[in-house]
Amino acid sequence: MYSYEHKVFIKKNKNYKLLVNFCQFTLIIFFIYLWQFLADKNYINVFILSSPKRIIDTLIKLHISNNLYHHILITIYETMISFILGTVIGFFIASLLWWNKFLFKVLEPYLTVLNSLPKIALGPIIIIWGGAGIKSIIIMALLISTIITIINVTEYFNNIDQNKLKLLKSFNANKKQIYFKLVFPSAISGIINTLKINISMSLIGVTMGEFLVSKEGIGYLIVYGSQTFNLNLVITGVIVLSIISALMYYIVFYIEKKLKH
Amino acid sequence: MKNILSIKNLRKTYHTKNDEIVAVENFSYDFKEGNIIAIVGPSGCGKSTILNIIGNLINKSDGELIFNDDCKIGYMLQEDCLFPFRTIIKNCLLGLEIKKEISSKNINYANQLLKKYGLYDFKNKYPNTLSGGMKQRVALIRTLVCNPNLILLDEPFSAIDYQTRLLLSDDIYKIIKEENKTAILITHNIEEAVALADNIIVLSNRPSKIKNIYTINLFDKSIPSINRRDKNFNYYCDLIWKDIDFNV
Ligand SMILES: Nc1ncnc2c1ncn2[C@@H]1O[C@H](COP(=O)(O)OP(=O)(O)O)[C@@H](O)[C@H]1O
Ligand SMILES: [Mg+2]
Repeated sequence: MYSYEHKVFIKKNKNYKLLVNFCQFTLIIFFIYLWQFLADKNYINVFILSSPKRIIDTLIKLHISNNLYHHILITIYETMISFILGTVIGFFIASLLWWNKFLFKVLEPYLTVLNSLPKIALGPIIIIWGGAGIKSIIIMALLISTIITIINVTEYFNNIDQNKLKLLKSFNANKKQIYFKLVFPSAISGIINTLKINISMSLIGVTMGEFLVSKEGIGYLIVYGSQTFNLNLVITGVIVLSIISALMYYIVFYIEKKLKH
Repeated sequence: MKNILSIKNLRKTYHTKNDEIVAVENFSYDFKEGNIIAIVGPSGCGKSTILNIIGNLINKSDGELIFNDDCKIGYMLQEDCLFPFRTIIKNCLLGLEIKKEISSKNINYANQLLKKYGLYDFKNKYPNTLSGGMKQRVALIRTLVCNPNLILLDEPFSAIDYQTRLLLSDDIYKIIKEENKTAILITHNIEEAVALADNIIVLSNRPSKIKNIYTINLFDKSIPSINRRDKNFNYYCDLIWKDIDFNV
């Protein structure tokens, strides 16, 4: 049994949360309503700015022509492939760099440069290497997610608690034991942050790749829309993309919650 | 009594980019089996350095260390260093795992120690559920299950509160004496040294040389918490206190 004071505290907390949710919901409804209102009254040019009703129409058209899910699935598929490959490759290379400090010192400046280089600049080269298909898209996404993973995980590996290292050394642990007993498991519990970053990096990379080369996927829909001056399609694409990224974020968020318990 | 370890003319120089620091110079001492030897001295004088060299965590620059043939070292650090992703029992078995000495006999011993220290119910819990004193006990068990006969303690109590500290020193004292182990204890707490140790080495400021060596003769030598009430206790504390150049 809780005291009256505690109940009041819980209730206050709950009300506060409810209020936040309510305002979030109201804000988006208000925004959609305002958008539609301005469009109806011709205060804004629907040809350039579209309107909620037109977006719904576009979605229905895509649904009827059966294209929508195809494009969504393609984008998700490409993102997942790059996400998983990027995480695994990035982790592997970071482990190598931890293992060989010298190699790390040598490669460090190159990694920094690669990381700050806008990967889109490599687009034309990637197309020549990978052709105008899914391969190029995944290469593009991998470039982004792998490098950021390497940098994050290496940082994590290099910040392992010195005292814990000392403890293992006092047991005469060899390097392999240090890696598997301490370095890797510590990084695993911190990996979720890398995953969060990585999933959005993969989506960014995939979208960029689809802008460049593809014939399918949400990125392609957006580019196609802009080329045919169909701004309804462009904005619909952007909205679908933000829904996908929100979904993916919440999946990782959910996994994180599960892991913490 | 035999020597479990003899150190002759130990020197350690640290080399950094802009400096060369002589941390220990001309340190010689015979560590007698079964004794608790405390090393005290001002902070930064080189106590940990000596212990790290004995524990083979860093290399000496010069000098000689002669270990007894059956000397098995166990190191207990200042921090508990428990791995947060391992359960308590798994943490206790870490050293054995690394030395590839896991056996049902050793696991039994670990369980026995967990029971003795009131930690058995937490066996399958994770370290974040324990208090500071409990964690330090787990660290002690982790050291003990490897069955060392020379235990190195680097300020093992400095991170815990006074009450727990007294209880833990009694526990450690009993274990060391009951199981006829040797211990080298580093502390900057003079009272703790006098209450626990048979011999006390007082070090000077850096580069640390041996300034004085005491053998503690109390009227009625017992566990540390009782030693603290001995008539001679304050006498030794005063003596050592005057020896140390506290750099204020
Ligand atoms: N890895 C190191 N590199 C350079 N100097 C060090 C290193 N470790 C310790 N020292 C220096 O050696 C001296 C002795 O250190 P330490 O043995 O840790 O002292 P204590 O344990 O007595 O406080 C200190 O002045 C410290 O700055
Ligand atoms: Mg120290």
